[in-house]
Amino acid sequence: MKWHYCRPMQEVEMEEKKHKVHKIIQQGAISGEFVATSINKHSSKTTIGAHTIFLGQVRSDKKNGKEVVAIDYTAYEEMAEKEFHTIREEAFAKYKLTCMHIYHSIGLVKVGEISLFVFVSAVHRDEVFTACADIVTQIKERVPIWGKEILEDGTHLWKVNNKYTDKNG
Amino acid sequence: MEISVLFFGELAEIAGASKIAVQNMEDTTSLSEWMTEKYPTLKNRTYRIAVNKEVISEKRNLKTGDEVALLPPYAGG
Repeated sequence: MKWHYCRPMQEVEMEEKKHKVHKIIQQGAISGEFVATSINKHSSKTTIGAHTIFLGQVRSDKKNGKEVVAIDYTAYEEMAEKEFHTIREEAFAKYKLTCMHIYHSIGLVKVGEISLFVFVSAVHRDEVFTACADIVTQIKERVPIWGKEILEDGTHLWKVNNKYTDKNG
Repeated sequence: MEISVLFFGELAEIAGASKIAVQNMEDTTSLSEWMTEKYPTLKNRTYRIAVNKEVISEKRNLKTGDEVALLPPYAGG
């Protein structure tokens, strides 16, 4: 995985030198195979004792009596990548993490497919539970990404996150 | 003096464009005023303003080549 980057810091720097643009934003849905491959790549990192994975899935909400069939995500890509990077760095400073990976989709993601994948690893479980929840919240609040909810009749609405509606999800 | 203005999400629909060039705009306040005149629907929308990919909370002077972005509420995840 070309954008794979884990602690320790020397490793991160080496990876960043090799791949100057670390892309978190991916075109289209995140597949189960991709998630499985990401997990498998950590079997050689034997100091890790706990992983937490968050998967954001596109939900079939009912809006105005019509079902949501997909979300078409767009982003202010350069700013979003910058913000993702800051969130990563802050999380590494705040928690004792061994590894962290974030992937977010842009483009069309159908209901039931995955649009956000956060993968956090540490020596013990306490860190990863707290860190993962925090990172997901930070992403939702700080990263300039928008979702156009495509309804079954072809019309659309703009997705609003729970911070603005007091609803979950 | 030319700056570029980017629109995202619903604001791109309102503007009918994702990017426009704007001439002779001294600061972000005069830009906001000019834009609500050009796109009256913006008055009823919540958005943040970023200058060169940084969200601002106060008036910012603009110079040639600046990239101003209008960011509606984020909806990632």
